Amino acid sequence: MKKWFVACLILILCVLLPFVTNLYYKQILFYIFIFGGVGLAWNLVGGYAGQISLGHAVFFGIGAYSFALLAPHTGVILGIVLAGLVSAISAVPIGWICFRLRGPYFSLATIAVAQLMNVLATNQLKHWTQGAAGLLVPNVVKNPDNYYWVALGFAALAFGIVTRMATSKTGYYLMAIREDEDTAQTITVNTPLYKLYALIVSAFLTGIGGVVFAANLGSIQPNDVFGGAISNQVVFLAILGGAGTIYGPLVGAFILEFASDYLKNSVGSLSFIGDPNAFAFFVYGLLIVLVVMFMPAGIVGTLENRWKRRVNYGIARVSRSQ
Amino acid sequence: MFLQTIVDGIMLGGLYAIIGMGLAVVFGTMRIINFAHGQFVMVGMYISYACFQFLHIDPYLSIGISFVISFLLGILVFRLTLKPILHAPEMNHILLTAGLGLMLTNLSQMVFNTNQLTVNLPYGHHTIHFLHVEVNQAYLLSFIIAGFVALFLFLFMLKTETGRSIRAISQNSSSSALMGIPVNRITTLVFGLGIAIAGVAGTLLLPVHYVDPSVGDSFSLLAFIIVVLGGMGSIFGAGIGGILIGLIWSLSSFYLGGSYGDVLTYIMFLLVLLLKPSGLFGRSRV
Repeated sequence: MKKWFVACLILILCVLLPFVTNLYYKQILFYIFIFGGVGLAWNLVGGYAGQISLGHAVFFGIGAYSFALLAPHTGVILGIVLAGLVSAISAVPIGWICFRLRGPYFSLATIAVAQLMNVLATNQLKHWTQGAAGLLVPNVVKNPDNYYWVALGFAALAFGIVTRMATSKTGYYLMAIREDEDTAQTITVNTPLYKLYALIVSAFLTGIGGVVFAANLGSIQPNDVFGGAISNQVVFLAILGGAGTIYGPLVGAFILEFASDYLKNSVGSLSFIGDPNAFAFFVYGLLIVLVVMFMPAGIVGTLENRWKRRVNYGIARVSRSQ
Repeated sequence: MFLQTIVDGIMLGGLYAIIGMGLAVVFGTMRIINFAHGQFVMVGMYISYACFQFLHIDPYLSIGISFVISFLLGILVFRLTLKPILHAPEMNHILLTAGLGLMLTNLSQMVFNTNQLTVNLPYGHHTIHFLHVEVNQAYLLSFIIAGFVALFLFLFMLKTETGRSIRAISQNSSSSALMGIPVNRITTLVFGLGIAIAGVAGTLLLPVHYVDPSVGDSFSLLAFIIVVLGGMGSIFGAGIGGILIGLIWSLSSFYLGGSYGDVLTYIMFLLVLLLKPSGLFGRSRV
């Protein structure tokens, strides 16, 4: 029960926040929830199972486009569920192809799949997606202010499902796969099945994240949802916060969104820096390099390790004094 | 028209081959997957663009400049970032180089903005006719120089003492260290060399391709496709892989329409990964 206690506190805080902050922070928090939620979904595959997918935008985009195409016929609620399901179903063939590869080859294959979908959605599937002209996405809620609640709901859903899975037997199987896939298989973990299971759940949540993102934008082009920027952002924030930790992606999203927003606004007046947007992304890249070099376990992971060490040290000291 | 398409494909492929070779050199020796390779190609393009724009140096004459600057940049990047985590899991290499790529892309966007820049060469629009085939002069020149770069690279790897050390390290780095090869120094040099080749590839591409900050992203993936196709780590394979990709690209674009070049390239990449992940000329994976 203890693990849900902190989560409930954060949830209550997030419910109360919009009553004391202004629209500006609500918008930032919206993106934190969306990308934090998708980061949590990525964490299941990339963090716990150790399969670094660099093309998660493919599920994000499939969800977004399915919703945009289905919702006018089915209504909003059913549209969201269907979009998540389509995205989850698409994970089966994608996982079947990519999981036959390991390590960096898997990562490369996921990039190729996402790029392939990006090109297909721009050109070959133009009939449905309208290509680069952009496709209108129906609103999820009438009042744009309420997107905050939709995103918060999505983040809570993602957190619930992912935490549930990660702290159950499945989570331990996934971690076993991450540490050593062959050994995991030897001790009768059905590794292909569990990897696919993690990917399907992850794709379902990522797809719904794509729906909320796209609905808030109002109209989408293939590059908005299938582009490498989305894939990279999701991976980076999970790594920054701590891959394979429960709160990592949320912490990562919080830091990255606020940092990039602060950078964009504060350096906008400095003309020698050029494009402030580019500067924000430059610092973003620098942050990744520094995190990988100096704390590869991420912020939450490093703190957790330090905490554990202190606790162990304390126990050792107590037992020695006895 | 078929012959024309084939020739176009080979010309394009020759330039792709050089991009792939730089990546293959680095991967073959130290098993580092450099996700920023395409961004270094872009840096090479911008170096030559700056030389052309501000110093009025013909891109083909700035090859030396871009080689030296890229080489030094490669060594600097290696020393500062990659060397401390050389023995970390390869996922860390992927993330680190992806972060580097993001830095390079946005640094060049801060300096040069997002405009697509091209150099206008006096001979850039001349074509040479030969057996009903038209070849753009700049393309041909780039292709020939690319051939020489490849030749020099092969000679360097096969004939010089350093090249022999590099090949020894790629076979077994701890044994090479025991045989008295300065592994640290050679790997630093190899990374510099790989980036320098990427820079030269950028210079050769500049007369025939626009440059903007995002161009590196597409080259990164392209470089991987080429190297995987040829066999991870095989320089010769990367050369053949580049030409094959060029051919596939130009044939499918011509017969199926513009965007099918990308589609078929990605599909073929996935097929190679699935069916023969060691590539056409690669050693089997350990």
